[in-house]
Amino acid sequence: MLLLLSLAQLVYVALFAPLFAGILSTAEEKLESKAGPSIFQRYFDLAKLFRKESVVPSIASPFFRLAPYVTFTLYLFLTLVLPIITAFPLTFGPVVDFIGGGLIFGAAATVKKIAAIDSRSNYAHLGSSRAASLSALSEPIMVLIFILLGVLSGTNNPYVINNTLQTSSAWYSSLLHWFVVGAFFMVLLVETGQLPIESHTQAEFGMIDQGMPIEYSGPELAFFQWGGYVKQFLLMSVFLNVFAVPFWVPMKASLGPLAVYLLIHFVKMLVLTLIFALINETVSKYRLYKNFDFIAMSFAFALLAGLAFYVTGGRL
Amino acid sequence: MLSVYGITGFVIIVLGLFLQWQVYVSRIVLTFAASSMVVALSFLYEGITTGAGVLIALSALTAAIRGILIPVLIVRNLHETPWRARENRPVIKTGSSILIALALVVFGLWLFSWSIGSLPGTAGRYVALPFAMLLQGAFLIISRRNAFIQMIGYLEVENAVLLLGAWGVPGLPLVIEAAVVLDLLGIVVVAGIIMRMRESSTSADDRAARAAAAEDLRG
Repeated sequence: MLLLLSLAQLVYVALFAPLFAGILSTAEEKLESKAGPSIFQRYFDLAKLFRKESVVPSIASPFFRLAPYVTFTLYLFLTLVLPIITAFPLTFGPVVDFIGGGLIFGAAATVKKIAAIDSRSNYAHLGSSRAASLSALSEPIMVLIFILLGVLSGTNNPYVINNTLQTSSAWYSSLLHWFVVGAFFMVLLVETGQLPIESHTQAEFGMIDQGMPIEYSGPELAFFQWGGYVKQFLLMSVFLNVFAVPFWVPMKASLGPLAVYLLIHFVKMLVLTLIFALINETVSKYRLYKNFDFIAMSFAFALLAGLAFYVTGGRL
Repeated sequence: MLSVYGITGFVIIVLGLFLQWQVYVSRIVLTFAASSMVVALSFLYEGITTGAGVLIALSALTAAIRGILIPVLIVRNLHETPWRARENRPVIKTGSSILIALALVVFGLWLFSWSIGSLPGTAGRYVALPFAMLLQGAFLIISRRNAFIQMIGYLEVENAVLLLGAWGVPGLPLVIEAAVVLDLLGIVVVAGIIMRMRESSTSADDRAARAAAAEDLRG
């Protein structure tokens, strides 16, 4: 049963991740009073890329071609261990805790950067350098957030944290929890490349994640992009299921509640996607060096969570 | 159970960090207005729950003077001197300012708990939060060169003192609290007049140079 649910979760994430990326693009265009692309456009793009041939820079090593498959596999592995549709650990759930999950995210990002550098393209170098500067600061904040969540649940296991927040209204309404939610939301904007950090264009001034895959084409580019959608889906799901709205996630393996929760999860994701679209359409992009001020604020929120716990003397 | 003191204290600490984050003076003034409104709301809540009319009056005074009147006066002054609308040369860079302000909050909380610990009133250990805010306001004054932002820093210190007085010494007479609120109005008006006098007393050459500088800023 658990193995089947793991598979169902894997298929759900892999299939629906491009849909939410498509909904985000369409919603942004609609907010600008434009017709916008179809919400299925990302599927069409992926299908087109899978049909095309790959062109690889002659100077690149074999690692360049391998990297998108490695990162995609790492993201798929994460779908098996994070709480997406269940609040109880599936077959591979006990393999890693939050810190381990963070390390796998970090490993995938590092593989992407090394492959981008391997392409020898100036733009890929520029994107890698900027992404490394940002993640060198944002990823420790994420670790700090996970440690702080450990305070409220006594563990770094995302399933236990979800259960604690689902069952304890005192922890859910505590200042510690809400500061952590604020900090994680800011890091989420950084990690998923939303405004005010990054626009989705290939303009040289603000290009970060768009720069790294610039030399990729064909199926490799498809896997690179698909992996990006899965990463965004996973981070959004973690934000919703563990941090902001941990409710209604089924705690027991029963097909009825699981099917209902799939629908609820879809709605939760839809709302967060629309919030992203609203932010992307109303906030202007920061100049590159101002991004670090944004990260400093997210660090401030994470530290204030700890201070809130300290000032209240551990009471909620 | 969440404490109103905790929520108020941490909201004003966060708004204090927002003050360090902002570059445009009008946004800093608006953030200060929001901070004053939060202080006023906390007085109103306490006044209603304890039945103390003095606190309700103080809440109305704080909202009217600090939340509306002083910000409006500053923003109006700002429109007459548009080259002051943005901090171009902060003493410390914005990111570093945020981190230093955060470190001051940590230091303030530690110092308060180490030296005083907890006060006998209902606010108890939460009095440490306005104390930390006081340090934040003082840091805003020294971290910026813009006179308006420095004034906001001073007003934030006064907000912290007001909250510290109300939480730490609950029985403080209204006349003293009101005096703290009202003297600020005088300070803002006097500071506005001094700034205008300084502008008008400078030579025509200076004015021309400043106008040229303002043109540069226009981009």
